[in-house]
Amino acid sequence: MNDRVPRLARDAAGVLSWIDARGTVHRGVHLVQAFPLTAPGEQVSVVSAEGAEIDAFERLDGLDPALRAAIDAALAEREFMPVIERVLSVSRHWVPSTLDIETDRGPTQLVLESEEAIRRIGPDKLLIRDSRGICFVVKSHSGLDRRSRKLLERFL
Amino acid sequence: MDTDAAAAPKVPAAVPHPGGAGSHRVELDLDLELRFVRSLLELAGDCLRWIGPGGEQREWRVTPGMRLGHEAHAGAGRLQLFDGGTCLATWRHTQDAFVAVQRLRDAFARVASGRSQAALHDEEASARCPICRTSIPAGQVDCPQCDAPEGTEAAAPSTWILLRLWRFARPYKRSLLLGFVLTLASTFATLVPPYLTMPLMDRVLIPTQRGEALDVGLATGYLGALLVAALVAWGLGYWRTYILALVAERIGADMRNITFSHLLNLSLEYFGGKRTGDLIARIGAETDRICVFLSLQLLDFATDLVMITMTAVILASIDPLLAVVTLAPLPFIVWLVYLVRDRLRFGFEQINRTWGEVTNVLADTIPGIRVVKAFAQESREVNRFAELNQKNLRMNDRVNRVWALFAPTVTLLTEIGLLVVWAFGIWQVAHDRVSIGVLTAFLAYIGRFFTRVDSMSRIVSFTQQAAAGAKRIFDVLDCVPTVPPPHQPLPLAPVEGRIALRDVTFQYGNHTVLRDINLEIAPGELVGLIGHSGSGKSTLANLICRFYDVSQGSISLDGRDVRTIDIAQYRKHIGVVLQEPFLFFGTIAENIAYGKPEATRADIIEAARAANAHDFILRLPFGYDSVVGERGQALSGGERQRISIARALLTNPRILILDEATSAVDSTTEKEIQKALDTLVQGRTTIAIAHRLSTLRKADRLVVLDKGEIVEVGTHDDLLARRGAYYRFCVNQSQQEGGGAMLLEVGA
Ligand SMILES: Nc1ncnc2c1ncn2[C@@H]1O[C@H](COP(=O)(O)OP(=O)(O)O)[C@@H](O)[C@H]1O
Ligand SMILES: [Mg+2]
Repeated sequence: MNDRVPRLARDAAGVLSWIDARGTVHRGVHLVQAFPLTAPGEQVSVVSAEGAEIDAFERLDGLDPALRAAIDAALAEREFMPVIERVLSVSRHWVPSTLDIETDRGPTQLVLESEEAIRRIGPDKLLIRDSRGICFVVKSHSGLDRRSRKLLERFL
Repeated sequence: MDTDAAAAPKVPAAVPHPGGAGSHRVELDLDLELRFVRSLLELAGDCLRWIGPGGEQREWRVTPGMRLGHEAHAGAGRLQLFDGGTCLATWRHTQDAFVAVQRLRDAFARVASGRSQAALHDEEASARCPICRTSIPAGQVDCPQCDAPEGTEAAAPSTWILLRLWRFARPYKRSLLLGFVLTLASTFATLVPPYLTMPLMDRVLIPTQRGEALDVGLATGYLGALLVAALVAWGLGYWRTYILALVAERIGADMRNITFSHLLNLSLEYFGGKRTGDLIARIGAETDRICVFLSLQLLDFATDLVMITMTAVILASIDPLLAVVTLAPLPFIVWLVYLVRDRLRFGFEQINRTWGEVTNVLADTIPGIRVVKAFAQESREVNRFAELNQKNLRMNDRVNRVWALFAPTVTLLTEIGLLVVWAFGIWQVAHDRVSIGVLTAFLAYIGRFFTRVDSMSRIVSFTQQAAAGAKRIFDVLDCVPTVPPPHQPLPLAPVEGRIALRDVTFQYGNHTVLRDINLEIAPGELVGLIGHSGSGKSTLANLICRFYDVSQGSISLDGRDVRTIDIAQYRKHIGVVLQEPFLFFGTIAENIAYGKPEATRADIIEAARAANAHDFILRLPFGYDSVVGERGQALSGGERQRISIARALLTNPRILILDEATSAVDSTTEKEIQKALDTLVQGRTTIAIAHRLSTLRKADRLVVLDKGEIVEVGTHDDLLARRGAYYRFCVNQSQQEGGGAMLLEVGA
């Protein structure tokens, strides 16, 4: 029974279950990335409803394709980090300021309350927390268009 | 009271007798009623002699049963001579004589125990300073290390200290030289235009006024030259300012870096006595002030100086008599500068210190904000801050009062100077001794000259500010680490982890905390340290980490004295988990990998798993990428503790020191941490200090400390059977815990 590929199943109510290599079923699990910002897609853990780690994968490449797809879907569902693609305008150049932005999940507004709400990750990536607690990601600051970059730079 | 004796200059407290080796003389400075009266106590050979203030003498022959007792309280020491149980004599002294008295007592003990004079001499030669524990060269009385900084502290902050900044300027010699040459050249260029007014006046304007035809060629020639001179001055001035500002910024950055790295290499002892805000102010604000001084003010000063000298020379070459009149106010200005300098200097020194105190309040209050709020002391802290600001204002007001008077006085003097030149010039022109052109040129020069003198006198204030700042920086730089690095560190072979303490004695200042500790710890052994609070457990751990050096005896690792091992290398092999785990601002991953920045993500996770921290980290919104805030305020005590355990695990040290790693948390968390620790101690030499005895149940051996001495060593069962200190400890604790349980029952 040891050689079975673990499985991630979803019941009618949308609750995830993890069926591990020995066939034991863990209900109500969720998937967590250990390094969601610096290394997404690596070090993914399956965590029980009680918060204990059941299983872990150092990387997702090379997993059984069906399992991989299920994990990706489960991760995507939990993670809400809209990616900022363009900054259209800012209400003013100092905080608090409201930014009109375009994200990968559609256009929205972001209220920036303090400069500390912007966090640099690595050389080029930014994480911006708005007043609602949503974290927006700028994947590459230098990769933004000129205008967006200029508008953001005032806050860095 | 004998006031003469009290006011007498401080005599070195112990003077080795020029004749025989091993003779000691101590000047005692109190009498039995604790009045300031001086007397002498002398140990020569086996004879102890006291010479009273009136010259009266008493003598004792030292016999083996004799003993000198020495204790200190509230700044006054008491030395007593005992023979068996009877006290033969008592002497009192102040802190000044403390060290010398201790040496005398030690020498007395050696004489009483019948050790040879030769041995005495040897020990004398390698005496160690009781304060900083550096060895004192033979023939010298005072410790070279402790006394040196004291001397500089006492001296007034001198302007000459600025010359020591040369150390930071040396790498930029060439740029500085170029800057200076440019200064000369550009200053010279600015002096050309007034010179040209002379021929312009005498050869162009005045002849034209007299009705001669305007010499257009000559006029345009002079005007062109004026323009060229202005342009050249502009270009050179730009180049010079740019280069020197660049250099000054670099000097400032170097100074900050050097001071910071020096600071971090100082021993813990230094940080024990210093306040955070003060150090921050020194490295931040004061280096910046010096930088501004070097880049702007000193530069201006140099220009002014060059300008004034050149002007003086030019003036003298045109008309010596007029030049003398022009320069007349200069001595007055110099005298004024001399007058205000001292007042300003002390004022700025005090302002800087107050500024450090203001920063101190911030550095105290902001990290301690929880305590402040919990005790509702916000207004008190605000008042404390306001008071210091008030003090700052007072200091500034005092300086400004002097300064406000100084600057207008210089201006007045220069105005009067100008007036004198006008008057003298008109008189001279009237008698046809100088031409109008010469007078115009003089006036043009003098206008510049006096503005320069004016601005130059302002340098007084800036110089004194910079000198005060430089002094505070050199205070840090002049401090020597009291844990000196070995002269020739030998490479450390793979570490087994055998630790041996031989006759270890340790003092904080004069307070002996550990006495004659002998302990051998085998590789891989888990030793538990037990003792009441204040019995010296943490101090012992600190000594093993070499945060401090032992006062006497030695600590060795695998048979090598730790003082011969490179400190950084040595500490790489030691992992420490403290009661108060400190987290830096940064992500959890960065905090775990603090001791090993090159660790991979998988390593970090593995360490966190072993420390029982992985699960709770995964529960954080960004997992290992979560920022924990300053000092890890966002985490609970147990969580912080487990992160610090993971940190120790990641470096995989051979030796592990756990200083009450679990005493600050509740018992459930303690169990989790205990699980983490059990993995951690596997195969490592471990010294565990614990409050709760239950945490030490796995220890191979238990060491019971009491008042700085080892009272019992053995396994749990041995010690219980012995019914000694450990047994009492256990009984005490089980009673307390029983009581705790009862309390819980009542509460529920
Ligand atoms: N930095 C210090 N300076 C002066 N005295 C100290 C210092 N640290 C500790 N002590 C003193 O040393 C004694 C032992 O302290 P410590 O080793 O911390 O005891 P514990 O056994 O509780 O860990 C105490 O009396 C304490 O007051
Ligand atoms: Mg302690």
